[in-house]
Amino acid sequence: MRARHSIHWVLAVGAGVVVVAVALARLAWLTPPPPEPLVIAIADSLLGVPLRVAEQEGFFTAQGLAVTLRLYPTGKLALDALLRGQAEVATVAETPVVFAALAGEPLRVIANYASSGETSLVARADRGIAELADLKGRRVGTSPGTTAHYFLHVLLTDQGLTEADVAVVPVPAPEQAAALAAGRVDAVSTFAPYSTQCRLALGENARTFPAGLRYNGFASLVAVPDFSHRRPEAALRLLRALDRAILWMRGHDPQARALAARTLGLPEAVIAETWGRLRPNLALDQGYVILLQAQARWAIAAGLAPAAALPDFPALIDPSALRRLHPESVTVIGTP
Amino acid sequence: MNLRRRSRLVALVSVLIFLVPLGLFLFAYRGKLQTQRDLAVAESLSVQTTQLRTALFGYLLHPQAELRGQVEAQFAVLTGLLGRLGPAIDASIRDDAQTRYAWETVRRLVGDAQTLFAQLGDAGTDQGRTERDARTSDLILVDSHSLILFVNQIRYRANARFLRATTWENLTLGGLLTGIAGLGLVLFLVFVRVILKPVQQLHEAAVRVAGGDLGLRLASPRRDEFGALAGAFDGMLDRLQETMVSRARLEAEIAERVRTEAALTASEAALRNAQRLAGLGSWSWDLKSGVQTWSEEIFHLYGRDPRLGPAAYPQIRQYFTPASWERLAAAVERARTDGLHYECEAELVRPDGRPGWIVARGEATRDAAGTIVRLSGTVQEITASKLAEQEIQSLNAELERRVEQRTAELQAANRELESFAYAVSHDLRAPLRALSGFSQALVEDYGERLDGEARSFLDQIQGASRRMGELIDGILTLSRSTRGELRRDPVDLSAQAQGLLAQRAAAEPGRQVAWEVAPGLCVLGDASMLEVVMVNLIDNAWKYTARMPTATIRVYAEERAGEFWYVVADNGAGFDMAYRARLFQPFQRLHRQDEFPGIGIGLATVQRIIHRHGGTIEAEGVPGGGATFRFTVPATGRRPESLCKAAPS
Repeated sequence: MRARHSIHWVLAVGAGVVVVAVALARLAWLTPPPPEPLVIAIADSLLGVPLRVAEQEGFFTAQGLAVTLRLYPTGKLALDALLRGQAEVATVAETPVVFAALAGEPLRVIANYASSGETSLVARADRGIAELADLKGRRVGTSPGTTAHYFLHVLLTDQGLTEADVAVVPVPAPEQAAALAAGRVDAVSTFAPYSTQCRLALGENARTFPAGLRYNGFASLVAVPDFSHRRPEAALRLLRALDRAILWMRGHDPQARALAARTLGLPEAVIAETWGRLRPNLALDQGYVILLQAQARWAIAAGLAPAAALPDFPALIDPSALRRLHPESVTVIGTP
Repeated sequence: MNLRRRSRLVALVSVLIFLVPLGLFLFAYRGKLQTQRDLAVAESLSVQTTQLRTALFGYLLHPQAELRGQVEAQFAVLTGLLGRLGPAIDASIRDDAQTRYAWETVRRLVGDAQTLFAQLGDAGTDQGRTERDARTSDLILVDSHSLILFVNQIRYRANARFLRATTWENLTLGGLLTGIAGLGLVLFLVFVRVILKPVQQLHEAAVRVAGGDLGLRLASPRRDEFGALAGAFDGMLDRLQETMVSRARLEAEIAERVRTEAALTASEAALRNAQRLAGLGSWSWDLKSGVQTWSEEIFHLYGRDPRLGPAAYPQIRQYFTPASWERLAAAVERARTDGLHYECEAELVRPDGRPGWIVARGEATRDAAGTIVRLSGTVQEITASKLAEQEIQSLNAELERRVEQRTAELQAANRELESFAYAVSHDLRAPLRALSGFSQALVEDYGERLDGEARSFLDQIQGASRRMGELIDGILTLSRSTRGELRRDPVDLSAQAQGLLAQRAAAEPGRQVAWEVAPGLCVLGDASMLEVVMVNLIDNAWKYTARMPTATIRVYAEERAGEFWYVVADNGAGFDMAYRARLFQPFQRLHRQDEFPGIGIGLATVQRIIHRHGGTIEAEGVPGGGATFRFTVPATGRRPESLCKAAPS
């Protein structure tokens, strides 16, 4: 009799605890926080695809973010928009970050989320360019301050040449195909999807030299300097949404490609050419710092930037949000 | 379901229940072992990657052939490791897309690094080549950093999986232990419910039955061994209760009989007591066997020792006087022969000499054939009433003797008194006559010589003499009224009243008197005495209406409660009822002599005459409103009117 009473008592207490817990949980669920607004400037290229995925697949919304994506032709323009105050976060490759750092612009890299994609040089065969060595003395167009600009340097250096051996013609990315087709330049150092546009514009006449292992950049999320401190939750949610999008892309490759083709307005075949180089992955590793430093050294040496000393790149990297999400993916060595 | 099957089922269910957490635990344990292996692989990868970087950095600092060989050897080790682990890793990270991606990336990065390392030319003097090598070195460095990052990811995730698996293992172990404890509890509860409780119920029932609650039944709905046991228990109680019921009935009957006997004893004692208090004994006599039965009181009444038993019939005579026994024996004999009921008083002769009387009552009882078979009856003591009766008779005789004596004395005294009164009246008359005659002679002979005052004195002497004469007449009348023999003849009061009124009217023709006499007022009485009554009443009425302008006198009769009242009523001066008692006293008057002359002896005389006739007289009056006198002359059984025929006119 006594055992039965104590069992009843335990059951009653257990039931009471469950009821209270459910009530508290419901109370918490019933009052979801209002969605946080966030404006992100993105490049209307492969660089921006992971964010388009996060938007299209509802990962932002699921994280309680009301994200507004603003499209710019290149990551550099997106970064410019951020620096103008038109967005809090931007997607950009490493080279515009280097130039911005050299110019002393206020920014923080909060995560790298992909490779910066395929960079390549498209040349006109009719201008006698069969190999990279043939570039000597040719007019080579590129979008200054972009990865393509640095890539040109890498290509020339690999061939034992310098920028002085060619005529570097600044051509904005969207105009490069036309310039190449019109013969205003003999070759163009550019990135997807403009490289494809150039190749298509030349047709048989095109000679393409992909970067291969010789160049590998980073697609970064750059934010205004105080973003991670002022809105730590928004930063964390942004990264979490992006992480979900990346996982989704890995598990849904055909759908991801289709989505990229649809949002970029390109045939899937074009996407397929460079899709493998996107390698989406959230991280902040020390290799990024090495690349930034290498590019800064080049910019200074080439007289493209006024500064004489290397910027303190580790100081421009804010891993606090990513450390909360994926501490194992942060290997940058901070400033002592 | 019986207990055997139930216990087997419980065991089966327990094993099944036990197997579930056990299976979960084993599964978790297996998972933990797997993650442990993954963790070891990740550690191994991490070590080899670190070795590669160490070698790489050594070569990049000092690009010498032997160091380059070390790097290439380490690349071979790493490649071999990745190739060797491939299938095992693929199996373990099947479900972890991130780790799989990390492994793939590591493979790619190792390959890329190896390729880049191969592109790293031997030290040369060409500036371009040097810059290219510097760039390649940068690329290798970037690659190696990436490599570290992904190896890190792999280790991190392997660690996380290991921790998760360990947690799961602990949880399932906890679940297993909880399950075992819960199972134990459930088994205990089942044991309590299935075995302990019914055993306890059985025990309680047995205790209650032992305490006398034979109406208890378990009525267990169970179909197992306990159900059967409870059924057998109930059956046993049925038998037991039947036995107890018959025993209880027997006990009740015995108790009832004891009660009845006690009541009978009490009743007999009460009867004995009643008989003793009433002095009433009862007996019966069986004529066939000659056996007599006496109640205890009879022994007491006869003064016979109860231990001797009832006396034989012939011996009973010794308890009665001969005369009483003669009467009693005759009555008993009549009852024996004719069946007559008898009641007979008899005087006892008791051995101790106490006087005693009884009333003996008896009756006969016949059998179906009408033969008298038994006599029974009572003997009631009446000694006390008999003695009281004798006492009363003796007292009455004494009383009568005394009354006769007193009456004689009274009659003698009356006679003396009457003789005295007569002698006084008679002897007073001679000096009164001398007084009156000589005063009359004095007036006649010497009246002229007497002055006024002397004459007045003489008048007063004459008046007083006359009044004295009247007084003497009254006293004589009064004494006569109680003297002499009272006759009972029919008397016509109406005629007497009529005659008397007519005489008064003739004597005083100046008075206006209206009188009314009802006819036929006849009584049985002494005519001369009743005439004295009527004379006095009529005279009073005539006298006290003298001042009335129209006097009214009525003589009539009233019947009240079967008795006739004779009334003489007037409308004269009347009287105050407060002084009514004085009316019939001799020489008592309610009016002054100068108002209405008289000597106050009339109504006393009337009352005595009426009383002698055995009647009653009443007076009723109102001052100035008249007086009414009513009297009775006790009835003689005949209507008064009928008497008048015999009355002398």
